[in-house]
Amino acid sequence: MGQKAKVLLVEDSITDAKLVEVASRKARWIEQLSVARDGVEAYSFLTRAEGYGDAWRPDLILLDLNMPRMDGFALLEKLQDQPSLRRIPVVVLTTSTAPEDVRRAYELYANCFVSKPADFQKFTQTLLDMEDYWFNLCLIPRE
Amino acid sequence: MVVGSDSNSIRLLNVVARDLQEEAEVQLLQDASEALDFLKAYLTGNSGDRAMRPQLILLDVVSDGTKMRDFLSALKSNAGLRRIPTIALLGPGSSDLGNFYELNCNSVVPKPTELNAFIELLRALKKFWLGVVTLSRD
Repeated sequence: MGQKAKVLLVEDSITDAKLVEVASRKARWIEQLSVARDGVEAYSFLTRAEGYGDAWRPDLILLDLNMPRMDGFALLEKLQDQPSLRRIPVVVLTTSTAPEDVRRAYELYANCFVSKPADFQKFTQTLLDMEDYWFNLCLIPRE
Repeated sequence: MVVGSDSNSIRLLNVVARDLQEEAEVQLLQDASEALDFLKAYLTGNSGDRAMRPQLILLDVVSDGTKMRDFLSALKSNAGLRRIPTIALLGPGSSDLGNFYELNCNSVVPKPTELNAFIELLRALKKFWLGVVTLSRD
């Protein structure tokens, strides 16, 4: 197993966030997981805005697309504003398989697009595959 | 598609491409501007028999990092090409890691120096990008 990771999950559904938490405990590579309920919260966390003084820099962002206030696409756009935020890889993790969503996410520079399997075992395997790729194979900036 | 290797790496990659010919079609382009022309020709339909839209672009940034950063900027600012995942192969001790992510490189991996490691890398990239990930169709 490679280095353990700090991950920011941006997900409005409490059930789906819980699923990631449980699956990530099985996958064992996520050392620290914080959940933001929408793009506004995520951006505040990432920029340590007022009220987010304790926020830390994640090694990876797992991003849902459909959320209230600021959705995943709008957050991807905002992340482009700051070079330091562009250094954090963003994995779009969504139930959507719509070609238009895939196209738009890459258009807005998502690092990759992963469709979330409905089956829990498969989902845990997907998280393990992500560990293998991002933390055993890839080099990612940790500052 | 692999872009930008020096001639030693190209020799190595030719062997890799031959070994993987049943698993992947590998296109090697030594020169970054040639690669960009090739991709733009694909967009305009002027590439004749060589027309292809690669599913993945590997950038060998070891030989000339500056040229490869320019290539990456051009690629990622092109509306027709920026959706193709681009992975940089970085040499040991390079301080460029953050820069490539800032330029919206999809990921960065260490460049292998020997044949088997190169084959394993291409297999791992294929497994992730063509197995786990959903790619844009165009």
